[in-house]
Amino acid sequence: MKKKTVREELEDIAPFLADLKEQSKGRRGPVPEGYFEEFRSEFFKKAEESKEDSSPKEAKVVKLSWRYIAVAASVAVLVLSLWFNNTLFVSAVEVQDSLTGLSIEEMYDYLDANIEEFAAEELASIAIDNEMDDFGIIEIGDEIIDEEYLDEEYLDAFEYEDLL
Amino acid sequence: MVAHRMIDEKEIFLLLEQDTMLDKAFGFILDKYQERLYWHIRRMVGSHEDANDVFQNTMIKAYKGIQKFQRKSTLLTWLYRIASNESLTFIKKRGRKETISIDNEDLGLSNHMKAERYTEEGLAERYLKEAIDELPEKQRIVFIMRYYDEMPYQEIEKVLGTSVGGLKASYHHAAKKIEAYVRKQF
Repeated sequence: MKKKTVREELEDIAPFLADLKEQSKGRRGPVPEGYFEEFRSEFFKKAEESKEDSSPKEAKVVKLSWRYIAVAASVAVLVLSLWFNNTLFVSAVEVQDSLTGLSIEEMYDYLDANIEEFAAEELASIAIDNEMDDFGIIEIGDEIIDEEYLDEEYLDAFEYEDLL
Repeated sequence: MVAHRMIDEKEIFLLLEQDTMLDKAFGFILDKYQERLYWHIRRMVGSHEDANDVFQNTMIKAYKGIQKFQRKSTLLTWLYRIASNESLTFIKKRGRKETISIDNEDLGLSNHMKAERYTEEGLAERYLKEAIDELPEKQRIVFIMRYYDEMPYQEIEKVLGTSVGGLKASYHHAAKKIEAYVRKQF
């Protein structure tokens, strides 16, 4: 079967568009005079620049004595340990400080009042470490589940479809 | 203006086999395809200023990659693929930058693009371009390649990596939408 030309195909699906295509043949928007000639000559300058930009920089080889290496390593260890202490362990230290010397009741009050400050895992580990059985957290193997979620009423509130 | 001899792709690839002939070979590529690629990009992005930027990026990418081109398609198909990807990337970036209100009066064109179009083209063509700008990206690019560039579906398939059946469906859908839009304006 002979393949349809673009025009024949268009006449079948969009005849108005087919006419429009015929009428506007060769009509294009304006382009600045001499654009393509200028583009050609400018292009090679830009291509050359782009080659220079993307050429790999020669790696500098610097010979360091063991003394410099040792000093640099010590500084790195110092900076890393300061950063580690000041960032990762800040919340743990703060929690520890806040709870030291408190009775279990005071801990409950403290945690209740500042509940938003703690991640679930932090709360769980504080509760477990301090044997705070009434805190509503139980352990099942590796999983820690808030007792609220085991409450019968809570479970009854779910439609069967919600659980699918 | 200097007249350059048009050479075929085989000759271009022979030149490209010699590292020192890269610029010469690329000069032939520009002579042969630059207008076609420019207009493909221009139809995708709208204004000359935008088309110029995208066209430059396209050709720089082609220049950097041409010696790794594996010739699994024709050179023109490969260039079209780069031009199409660059145009789509540009359109997406522009879409994020500009807040475009879309209603019946303002069909997603920024003011400078509208002004340029209204003065340069007839009314029907203006509506045609407004309708094209409203198409989803995929339909837009397929429509431009088929309607303006008159590319066979098999060639568009190589550029976009979409099956001929899918391309036909996109083109038909786009053409019908545009026809309905343009007719409605008269």
